[in-house]
Amino acid sequence: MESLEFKLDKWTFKVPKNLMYNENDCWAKIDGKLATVGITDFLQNVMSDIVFVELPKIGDKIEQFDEAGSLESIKATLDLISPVSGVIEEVNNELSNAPDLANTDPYGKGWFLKVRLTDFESDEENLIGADAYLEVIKKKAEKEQQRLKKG
Amino acid sequence: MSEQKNKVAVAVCTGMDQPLATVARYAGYHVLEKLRPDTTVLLCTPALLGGVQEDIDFVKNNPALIIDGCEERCCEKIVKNSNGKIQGIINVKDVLKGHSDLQPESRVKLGPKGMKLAEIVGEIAAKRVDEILEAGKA
Amino acid sequence: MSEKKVAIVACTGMGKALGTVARQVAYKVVEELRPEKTVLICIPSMAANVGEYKDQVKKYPSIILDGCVERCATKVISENNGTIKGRLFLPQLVKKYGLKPGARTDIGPEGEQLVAKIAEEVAGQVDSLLQ
Repeated sequence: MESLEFKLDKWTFKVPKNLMYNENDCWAKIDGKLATVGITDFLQNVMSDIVFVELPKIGDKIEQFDEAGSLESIKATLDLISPVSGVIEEVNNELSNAPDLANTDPYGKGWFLKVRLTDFESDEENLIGADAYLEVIKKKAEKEQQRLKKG
Repeated sequence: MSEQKNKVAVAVCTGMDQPLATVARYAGYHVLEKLRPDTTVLLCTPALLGGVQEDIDFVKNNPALIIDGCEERCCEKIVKNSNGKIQGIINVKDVLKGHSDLQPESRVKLGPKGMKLAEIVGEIAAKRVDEILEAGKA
Repeated sequence: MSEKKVAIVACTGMGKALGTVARQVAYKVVEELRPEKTVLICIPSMAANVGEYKDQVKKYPSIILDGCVERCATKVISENNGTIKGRLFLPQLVKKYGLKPGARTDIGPEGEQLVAKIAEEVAGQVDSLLQ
């Protein structure tokens, strides 16, 4: 998986080129009518160790920008803001036993949802590519630097 | 693309055995969080041992300042083994010699004197950070 | 007959508050709860070949306290041929006990409660191992 990278102090934030992103630090991998959704490397770093993930149910309908679950770390609780609209086809149950997968492999085994897309043509207008998301996290990283440094 | 400015990697002994190791720990936090937050990065010594790549890479590519707790100099040895570029070493035991009234209470709780000693070590470390960065510009 | 004890290994990481919590738990177990039945392992000293830690880790079963996903204490003890008989992953215990530590320099009252709970859990594991 080819990625762009942004380095800040000792952290390297990876942004895979083949994914799409929203400004709430979620990614979507589009495979035809199906989207896999997760959180970015940047977000998992800022959140620190994730201890609990709450996911929606299979069959739930979601709109882009809806809350599609939540994650709790030792530092904060955050809602997952869906990057796409559709019907939840699958959820990653591995995250119940091992929520830290979202930290260790955010773009792979730490995926959150699979969504059967219903309106990707509209959704796409509100998504950004890797280059644009890299710029987003560069701005956020300076603000988050003190939070990152505090562990 | 990197947005890095010059920073000093501060590596602390993190030992469990001696009270002065706990002093070193709090001195490291004092430098990073209070005194030089913009010019230091805290290295996690156990992470170097555990093979955490971001710590290993950072210590190889940036000047390192060691804060060791005793004459065993474990942190110095660990950073050397990780190919770190050591530019400064502070030993808490040496600092204590000049401030013998500031004995920490215990390794679990430093107490006011131990915390004061940690602050003094932190201040010495902060000056050393400045010197390292200044030398790096020359 | 060799004396039976358990080696308590805290990650003692600097980066996160749970590194400080791990450290405090280890002290509580070794100094207060099970002083006759445990030995405290200092990972940096062990790595620097200082003291008897490498021998102790080979001799006694280990209970590991890892403070984050890197699980450094587990890796270090495995590499030093230690026998790991208990592994506590502290982020999971934050959720289990519903107690979040404060800062890494001051874990706060919830952090102190978390230390007490985890230390009791470790003490129970020590007893089970030495039965």
